[in-house]
Amino acid sequence: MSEAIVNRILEFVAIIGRFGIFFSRVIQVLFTTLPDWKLVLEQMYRIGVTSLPVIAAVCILAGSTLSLVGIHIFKEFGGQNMIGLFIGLSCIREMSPILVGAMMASKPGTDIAATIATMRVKEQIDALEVMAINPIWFLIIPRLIAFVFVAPFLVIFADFLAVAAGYVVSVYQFNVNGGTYIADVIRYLSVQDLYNGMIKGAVFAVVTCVIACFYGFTSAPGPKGVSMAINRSVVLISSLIVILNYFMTEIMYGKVS
Amino acid sequence: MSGLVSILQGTGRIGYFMGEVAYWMVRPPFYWRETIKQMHHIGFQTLLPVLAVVGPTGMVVTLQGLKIFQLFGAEQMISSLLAAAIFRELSPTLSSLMVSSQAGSSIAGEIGTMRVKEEIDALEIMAVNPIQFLVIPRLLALALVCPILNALASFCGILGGYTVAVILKGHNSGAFIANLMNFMSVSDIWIGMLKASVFGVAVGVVACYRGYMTTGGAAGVGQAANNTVVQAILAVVVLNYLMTAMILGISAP
Repeated sequence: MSEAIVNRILEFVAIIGRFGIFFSRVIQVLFTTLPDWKLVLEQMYRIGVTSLPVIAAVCILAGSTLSLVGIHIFKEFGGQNMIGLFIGLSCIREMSPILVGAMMASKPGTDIAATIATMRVKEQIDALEVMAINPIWFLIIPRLIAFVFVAPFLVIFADFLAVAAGYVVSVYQFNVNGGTYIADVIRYLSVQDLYNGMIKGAVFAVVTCVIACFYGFTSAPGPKGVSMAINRSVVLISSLIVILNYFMTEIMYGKVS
Repeated sequence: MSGLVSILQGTGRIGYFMGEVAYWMVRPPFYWRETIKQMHHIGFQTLLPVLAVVGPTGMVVTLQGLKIFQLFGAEQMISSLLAAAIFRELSPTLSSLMVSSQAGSSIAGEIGTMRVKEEIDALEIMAVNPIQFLVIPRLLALALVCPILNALASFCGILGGYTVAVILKGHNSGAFIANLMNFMSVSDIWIGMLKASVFGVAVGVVACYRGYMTTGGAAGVGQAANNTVVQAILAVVVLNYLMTAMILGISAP
């Protein structure tokens, strides 16, 4: 029994070590070579444009659900007109960065893990090395750069769609004054909030990309290995995003005025 | 035009699949042992990620909520906001989000691998109905395990909120608990459990369908797991909106 526990701990430490080596290699390649901008553009298209519909759908529904719940709660205080404040703050500060992060983990993230794991299984990564192309430079760096640049814009889209969906539900379904809603959003939110959301999005993007690439790179052979890589990467990324989000919120808004 | 046709085809296929599942669900043999095994598997596999997501979320809700409530000078009321947010919305949605990324992708991967390795055909040759043996135990397991996970997650979320409000920010512990009890009713908890169960079934249907229809080797399995996660999350969010609208409509004063 104790031997099994020791083995599991050793395995865990080994994974952390492997991840550290992998990450340092990525950093080294990132800062010592120029990326292939054509690949970067292609990845930007694949990550940004193809995941936009999913993010839009999730954010629109999240915004409308929030406004349903918010109006229900605020009715008890007689403050339906504060709904703009509630939706604006919760969507722009928290919901849309987290939702964008979760959707990035589940769409482009799993896509990356699956692609790289399949390449690993089919020995295409070894083939790249044989052709003297650094697989990290060719496969990971373009995705990393694309992710970091695309994520903040996805967050902006998500912000807009969530607040707009909240507007539609609260104004047309619950007859809240539209002018009050917009005035509340403008009054209680600053541009700094938007920037903070974008920064969060970029950090989540780095986490997503590096972990998805790591699990893809070190996947076990066979279809089972591919599905394991996807499973582990998506779970780890989503948990890390939420945990990191707490600390980033604490840093950005934690000061009690 | 061809896009529309393929959407209709996909809808028809998933409808047919669900019909088949419903048909076989009420007919013997029932693989109870397999169901229990899946419950154990899914529950333990998903517990840690679910707790790791909902706990910090409760902390964030409290942190932001305190700032908003300060505007009205009503910091004492934070636990009512926290309870409404966690029990009714966040805990069911977030835990099913994690269930779809953990259990969903692993179910799709598992069934997809079996399909690719022709193990499902082997089951059929042995006169074991693959839907009864593979799909229904997983669906039942998800429907039963998700509410339990959701209950644990809700507790963890409230605990996270308590940690921030009382221990880190120094608000009154008694007021926190009293407001929690005042504004909460047991029906809130049941609503959350019901939602989690429905989401669990939705995740299971999407995952089993995608795994069952896998084609084309390791790449196909990866594609199936990828599609599963995205579509399961979409299904959960859409269902959540509809269920919230229904429940609030029913319980409106």
